Amino acid sequence: MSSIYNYFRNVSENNYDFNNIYTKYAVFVYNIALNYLQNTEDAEEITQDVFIQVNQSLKKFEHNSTIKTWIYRITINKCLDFIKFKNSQKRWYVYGKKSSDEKEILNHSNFDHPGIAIENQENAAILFQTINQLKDNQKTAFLLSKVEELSNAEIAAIMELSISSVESLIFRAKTNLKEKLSNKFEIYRKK
Amino acid sequence: MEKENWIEAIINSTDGMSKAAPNEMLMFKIERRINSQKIISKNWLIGTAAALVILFTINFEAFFSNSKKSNDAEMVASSISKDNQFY
Repeated sequence: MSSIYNYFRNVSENNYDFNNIYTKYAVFVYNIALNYLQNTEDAEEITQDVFIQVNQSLKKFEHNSTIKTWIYRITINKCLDFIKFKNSQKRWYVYGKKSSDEKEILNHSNFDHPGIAIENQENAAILFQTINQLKDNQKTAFLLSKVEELSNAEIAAIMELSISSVESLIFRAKTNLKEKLSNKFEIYRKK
Repeated sequence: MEKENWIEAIINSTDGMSKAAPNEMLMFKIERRINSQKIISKNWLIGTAAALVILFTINFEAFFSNSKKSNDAEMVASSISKDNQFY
């Protein structure tokens, strides 16, 4: 009897206690946003937006997926919207409106990930720069697989795709990355 | 060969990376934003309700004062028409 009570208590605590959810998933959300946007301030902004939406939608959350999958999905959608917004600002720049932040508009990717060892920082910066040139779905699949180290089944649940589609996306992402890096190698060699 | 090694090194550069921790103040910022949203929505609700009450009062007043005026005008018109009767 007490085990049933504990189960329901845990379920309700896991699903509806906002502080608990924040403690459990803040690092995940922040890291996905950081890998996606490659800017600590933007990643913090997205983390805030994600948890505000989680707080608003928590009672409406239907248990079609796990709460982790649901939060991942919100984070990725927020990141994609953020990138779209930034790109639209860039388009305005082309037509004459000048943003206050030149660096933001020119999209310099001199991003040093705080979790990467110093000796790998330079290579990782090139990798993130190249990842940005991939299509959105390839970028998502690659980041979740390679950087977040999620299984293909988990990625499939987050992206609402079949496992074979995810495998194909990761394969295409790797092929495209190798191709783009191959072009970059010539520039690297000239240096 | 050099090229392949370089590409592999780039692709594997995130191996063994540790998770970055968000700012410790982030939770407070989120709580502040959630609370401010609640205050804003409450204020909007009160404001909207007050505006509706004012709108209904003005309409109510306008409707009844107009109907009273039209009754007065009808009475005057009927008295004039009675006074001006030739037969």
